[in-house]
Amino acid sequence: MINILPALRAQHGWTQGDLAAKLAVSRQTVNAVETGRYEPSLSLAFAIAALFALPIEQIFQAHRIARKFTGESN
Amino acid sequence: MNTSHGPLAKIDEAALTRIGRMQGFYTWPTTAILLSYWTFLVGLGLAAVVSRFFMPGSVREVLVITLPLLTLLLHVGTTYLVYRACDEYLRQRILKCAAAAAVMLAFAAVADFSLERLGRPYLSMSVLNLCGWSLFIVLMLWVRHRAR
Repeated sequence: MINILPALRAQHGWTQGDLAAKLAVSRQTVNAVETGRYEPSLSLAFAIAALFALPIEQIFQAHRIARKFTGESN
Repeated sequence: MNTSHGPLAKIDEAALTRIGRMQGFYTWPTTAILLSYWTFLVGLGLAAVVSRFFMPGSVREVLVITLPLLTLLLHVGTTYLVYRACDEYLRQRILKCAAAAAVMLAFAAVADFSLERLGRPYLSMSVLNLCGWSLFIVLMLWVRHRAR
């Protein structure tokens, strides 16, 4: 799963700590989500989407999962 | 934090960062875990003292059984409350810590059994229990320390 969270955060001029405070999670959680080490739960993904006023699929793109179901090689 | 004026003006940024980290580490979850673990150790120690110095009887048996168990219950409850207070990622990491500690404890228990069969001195289960809990507490505190 890849995401555009760092770009969105930079666009708003927020640090990871700022975003963590807005989402009521730890800064480590934001860092783990941004670097792809952790895939957020649905509730956290919805909270992120609501915060940036964007659809979830625009923030998180599950390329590998999509390939798995469609059978695409690239 | 604005340090350009006031009494903190002479303290450099690195020192402030260190102070902030220390303050961040001694939050209520860390303090609660350490205090409840200390209580558990005291309970265990008191049970050992009671079993050694009290005359055999029902009071001694009740104290030896209840002191470690009740303090352990308090410690487990505190650990659970801290777990509940963490966010989803930290919970996942704490569960990994518990799994790692459990696996290590399982290996230690089997190793102890094997060594005992080979004639090594008998090691009390309370020692293994203490090692396992200590390991889990250290791992959990490390997770919280990194999460600041």
